[in-house]
Amino acid sequence: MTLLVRSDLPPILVVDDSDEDFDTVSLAARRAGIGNLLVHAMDADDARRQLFAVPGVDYAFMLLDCNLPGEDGLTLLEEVRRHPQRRTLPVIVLTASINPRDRDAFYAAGGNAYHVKLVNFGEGLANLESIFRYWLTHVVLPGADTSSTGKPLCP
Amino acid sequence: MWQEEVRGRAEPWKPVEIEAAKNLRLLMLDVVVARAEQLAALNTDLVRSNDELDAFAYVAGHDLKEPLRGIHKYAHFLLEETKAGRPLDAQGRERIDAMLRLTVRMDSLLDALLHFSRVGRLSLARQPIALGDVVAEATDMLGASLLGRDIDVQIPRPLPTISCDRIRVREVFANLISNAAKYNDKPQRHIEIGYLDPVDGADAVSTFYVRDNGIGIDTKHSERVFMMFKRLHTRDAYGGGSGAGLAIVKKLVEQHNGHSWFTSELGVGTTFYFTLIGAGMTQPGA
Repeated sequence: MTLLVRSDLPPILVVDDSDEDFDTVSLAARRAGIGNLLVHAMDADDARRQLFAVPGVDYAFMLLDCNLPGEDGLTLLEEVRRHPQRRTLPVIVLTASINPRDRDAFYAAGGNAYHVKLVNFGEGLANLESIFRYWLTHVVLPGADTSSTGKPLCP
Repeated sequence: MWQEEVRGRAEPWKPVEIEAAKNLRLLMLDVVVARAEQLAALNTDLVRSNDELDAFAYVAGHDLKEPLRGIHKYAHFLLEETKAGRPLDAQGRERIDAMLRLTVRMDSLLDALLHFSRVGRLSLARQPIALGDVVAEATDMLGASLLGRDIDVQIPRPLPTISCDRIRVREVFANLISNAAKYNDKPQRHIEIGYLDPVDGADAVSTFYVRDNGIGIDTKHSERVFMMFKRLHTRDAYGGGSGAGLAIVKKLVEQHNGHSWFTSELGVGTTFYFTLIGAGMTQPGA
């Protein structure tokens, strides 16, 4: 399936150091039929550049891997929640960690949803597709333009 | 123990006896308090080691699952292609290559993990060791991986002989020298190995260092770099690695009752320090 990336849709920031996992995320986005651009950041510093150095871009949400090289995803989440322009950005974690402490720390820091990366590829892909569908079609995102239809401007 | 028996009415206690009884009471209190403190310290240690074990199991779990996820994914794709009756194409061969690479990565993570856990359990074989020889061996061991790079290793003054575990201290040096060479983008890589003068006599702390002119480490990572499987760079940057080296260094140094830390300036270089406690230093030639 060829899908045109539409520039009128808010991009999604994907923070993950694994190219294999980013590739899976891209595949799930295509299969879910979403046209939002996926912006890939490899670590917290890279994500910081995208979020704080380029303030004009409004992201639909951030898909965040907590276990990153250098600073972890939790530190990045805390910075996002403190940042005046980014504090309402939905942050969805996709991590390999099943540690209850990581999970609780993520929610305590104001994260929106915690998902565990699955070893089973088929299940992991289905999980990601439902994440994209849910957050882009069912959720009214912060700052979404709902003026004409009452629905957010996402497919 | 002091004992006295009286009939009828006892003589009133002399001031010196009251003083002695008071002292005895204080001594007993000291013993009780000291025991309670020991017990509290043991409990704290136990809680900490349980917490460490817990955190360690989770870390090991998710880091080992990463290559496993990749392998599962590529096998899934290959199976889909086969089911659809499509012959193996270039992309299919790339996927098989990736699977092979990931199994090797998983193997090296498991080796590092087993080594790390073994390092914590074995007891030290301390004896007087000439550290100059140990560093020479460590550099020889690294020879193959350091070859082809322009590296010069300087030892500004001969290293002392100290009481330590030869194999472990050699591993500490090997890890630090290897890092100094790897995380370095200068055309001429300099590594300096030395020690600081002990502050006082026999039970002085011996502080050793390995200094490089490499890329440097942001000091905000001062604790993170010593964590198991923690890398500051993406998986294959700077020659790749499992992220176990400094965690192992920290553990080996702790076994010598010492500690490890670094000072660094980004783009200029890093100096890793470690101490070996109770190591009774002998100067070469002294």
